[in-house]
Amino acid sequence: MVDVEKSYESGAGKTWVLRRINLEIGDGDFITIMGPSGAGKSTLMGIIGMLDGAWKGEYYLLDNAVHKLDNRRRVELHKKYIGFVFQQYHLLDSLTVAENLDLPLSYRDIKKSERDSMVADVLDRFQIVGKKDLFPNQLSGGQQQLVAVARAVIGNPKLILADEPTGSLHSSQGKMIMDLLKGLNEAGTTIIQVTHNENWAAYGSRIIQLADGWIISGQTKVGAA
Amino acid sequence: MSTFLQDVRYGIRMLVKSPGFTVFAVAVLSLGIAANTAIFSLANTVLLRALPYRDASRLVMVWEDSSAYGFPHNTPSAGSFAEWKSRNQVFEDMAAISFGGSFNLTGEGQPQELPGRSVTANLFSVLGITPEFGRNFQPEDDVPGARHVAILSHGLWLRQFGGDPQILGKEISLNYEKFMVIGVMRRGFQFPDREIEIWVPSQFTKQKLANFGNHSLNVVARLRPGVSLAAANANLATIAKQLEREHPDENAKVGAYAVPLRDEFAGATKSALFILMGAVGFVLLIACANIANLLLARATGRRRELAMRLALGASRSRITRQLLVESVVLALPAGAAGLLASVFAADFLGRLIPKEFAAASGTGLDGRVLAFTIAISLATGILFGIIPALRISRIDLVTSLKQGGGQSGVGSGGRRLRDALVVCEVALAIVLLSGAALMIHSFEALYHHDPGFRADHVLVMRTPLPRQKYEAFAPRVSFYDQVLSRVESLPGVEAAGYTSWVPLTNYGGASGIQVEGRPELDSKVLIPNVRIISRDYIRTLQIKLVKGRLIESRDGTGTPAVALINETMARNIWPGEDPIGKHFKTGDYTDKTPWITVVGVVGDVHQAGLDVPARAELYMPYAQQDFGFEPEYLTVRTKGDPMQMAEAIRQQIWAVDSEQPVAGVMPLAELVDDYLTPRQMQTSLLGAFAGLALLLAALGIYGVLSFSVTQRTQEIGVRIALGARREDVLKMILSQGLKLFLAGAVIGLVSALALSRALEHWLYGVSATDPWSFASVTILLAAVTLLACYIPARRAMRVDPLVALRYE
Repeated sequence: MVDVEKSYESGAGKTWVLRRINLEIGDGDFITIMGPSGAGKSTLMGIIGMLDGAWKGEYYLLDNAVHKLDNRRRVELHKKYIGFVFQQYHLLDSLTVAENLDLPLSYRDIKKSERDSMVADVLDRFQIVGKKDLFPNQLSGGQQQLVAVARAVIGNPKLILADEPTGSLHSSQGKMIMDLLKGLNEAGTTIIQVTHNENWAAYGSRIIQLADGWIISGQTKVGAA
Repeated sequence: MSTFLQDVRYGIRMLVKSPGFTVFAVAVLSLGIAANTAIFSLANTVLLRALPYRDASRLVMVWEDSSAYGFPHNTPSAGSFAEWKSRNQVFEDMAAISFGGSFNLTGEGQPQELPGRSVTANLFSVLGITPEFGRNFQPEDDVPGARHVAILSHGLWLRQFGGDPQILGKEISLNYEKFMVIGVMRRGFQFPDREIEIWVPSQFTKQKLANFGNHSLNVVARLRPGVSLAAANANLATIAKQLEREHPDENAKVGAYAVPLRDEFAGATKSALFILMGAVGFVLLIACANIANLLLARATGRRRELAMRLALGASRSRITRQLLVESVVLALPAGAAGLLASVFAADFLGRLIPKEFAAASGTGLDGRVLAFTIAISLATGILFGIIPALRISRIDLVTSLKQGGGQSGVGSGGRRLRDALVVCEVALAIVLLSGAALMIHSFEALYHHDPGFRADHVLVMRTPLPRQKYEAFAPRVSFYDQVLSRVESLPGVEAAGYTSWVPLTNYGGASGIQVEGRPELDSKVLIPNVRIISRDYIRTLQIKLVKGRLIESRDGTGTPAVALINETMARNIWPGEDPIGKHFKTGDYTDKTPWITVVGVVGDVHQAGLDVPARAELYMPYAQQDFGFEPEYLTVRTKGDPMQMAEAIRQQIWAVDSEQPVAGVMPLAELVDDYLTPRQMQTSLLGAFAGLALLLAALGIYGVLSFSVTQRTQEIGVRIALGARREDVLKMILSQGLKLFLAGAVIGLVSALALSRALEHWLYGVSATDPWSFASVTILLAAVTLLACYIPARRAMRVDPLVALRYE
């Protein structure tokens, strides 16, 4: 990212959300973004994940100049390379575990039979085969986040964006999810997480501190926990 | 009671707090309630309100059943009337009224024709009515040769005689005979319909009362107390069998039956009213489903409040009651607005009331309409309130308090319920739209159907010649000849002709005929309608000449009798043959009555109604024989506006006979319009109600999807975050709406197909299962549904996933 900025107009004038973000993340990194509320963490995640199109600057993802792409191409790029994990899991209540896993695949041009086999693989890999026909409200918080991570990786993304993935979990469940993310990272997936928790931050290889839209530190290398 | 009042107060406060919701809900409900109140007020007049006669539920009309000869509802003969009256054991009394008729009033300014009836002296006592002043007819007034007396309508007394208090005993000239006025009826009294202005005694002779061949009476009777209609009909059937045995020539296969006076008056309006009541009922149900849906949606915002009430000790039944009170509080102003709207609609709807119902009664407001409106408002409030109330009162206390006024609403059950309500709305709208489409197609077919004549630029008027003055045949022929000759010579007149009845006033007279060379044909079965006409009548109405020639000047008095027949008669009697030159006669086969020669075949004319098939019919020139049917309708085809010629034509008639009244002056096109008006109104009303249903159903779909988009904002955000494109979101919302539409459409179309049979009687030129009608309404509703879905779907497309994912 080169000089990425985001602002919006309000009655009081221009309000900056992100200022001059210059950031390089390597393939296979595990980055943690930290900072107080309103620092711009989620906004930065939204821009990286291409959910937000209204920003200035340059953003390259795997040699693709995102800032030059139209919305349709950005969506394609997003679908190809990115998986999301949210604090509130955001599983769809009306869909079963298997259907929730199938959801991102359904937005790609993948045949149904192929999708079924991908879902079966992931259910197996995450050891949740027995829960495939349950609805989210029949699962514990940890199990729901497990499914959410499974959903994020089902399309084999190169980058997983995890916005406070453990924020709604108690510590043992949180550890399980962080171990899972660490494992994915070790298998080659780049991970960017937002967290307020120092312990979970330590899972990453690098911490970026945000405050009032500015990166105030981002060069510190931290060893794995 | 105090808690109830508290609920009412709270309900009012809730409505005031949400003015947008309140105004919308009251407007939707007002439309539904107004439609129901208006149609009910019409039904009240026609079906419920007591007729203005004593104990009117015991009054019946008695008819001859000559179905075997094509006349199932035949006007009785005086012979039948006399025998029914003397032999029956079921009627308290029975009276006869001449079928049609009028009196020429002269000596009171301009001569004028007064619609009037000759009645048996007991008519008013059968009806249980006495004059406002003066006396009723007495039996001695009804004896042949007795002094002529008359009773006037209140309107005639005021209009013609200036409300003269000395009117009793005054002599007036009716049909050139002196009649003494003996009474004036009460204001608003009418019988048999509101046009009648004068009644005189029939003075039936013994010979007349033994005549079974001339069918020209209406008979009204009063059932004895406790006698049912079925018992009366059984007794009439027995008497008819006796008459059949005693007078086989005239009464073979002739039955008799009674019809309640109200049903007789209501006629076809009764079934039209049932259709309209069904339609407005559907509109109200759709309105209820709409508001129930809104209430369910609102419940989301009130979850916490209601949970709090439960936590503070309110029972679930108390919560249900409070919510129901709020619904009813919402429905009552809608009821008041509906009542007001229906009062404004009364004049328009009044045109649907048959003329037999008292003009004074109108469709106005009375206690019953008021009670209906209150009842329907309360019922509506409970109907749309009960499901949401029960649903909301079952909320999960702990979750609701924890979630506050969140987005989860009343759960997936609530969503299913809302969907079900929309499916019902769509189904009801499809039923109503299908019915309206069938009626509209039918009306179009009727409107564009060739009636067999051209009504434009034709003026019609009546010049009934009183027998007292024109007893002999020759002076009558002379009168018609002179009038036609004078009128034809007027500038601006293209053609003029006399006829015994213009189309749409009557099937026409009828007569049994014998066909030359076919003595085996039963003259009682061959009963064509008969019209007595002048030379140019066919040309004046531009009735098509199919074959042969029209009546000509040479077909006058003393020349061989000729006739024109219509295509149906040609087909029925001479199938596959050329009827020109064939002979028939009206008397017995062997008697000396001269044969009549068919000289021309003309097109069928829909005489009894544009949608009533033509019967076999013959036209005969008035100058050749005194057939008994007077050609009293003068028709004139003009170059310009026919009404502009009215005065000039009237002057020509008065130049022939200055005392001759001229009545019923109107363009023939108006007669056609009058015939079409009730059907047009029914079609318009049904169309308007269907339009309302369409609007409400569209609002319902819009409301549900709009709410759904709000509720699914987070989900939409998640889907976008997981790779859904904006088009995927649009498709998802549209397909949600279309699924509801499809479910409703299937149910609606199946129901509409089943219910359309109720309309069969009203349809003309279109089948009750007309695929185009059903397809067109389905496409229309689909298009409206797509539009209703598109607005919330567009909103869904614009959901910002970042905002949505933070949405709590």
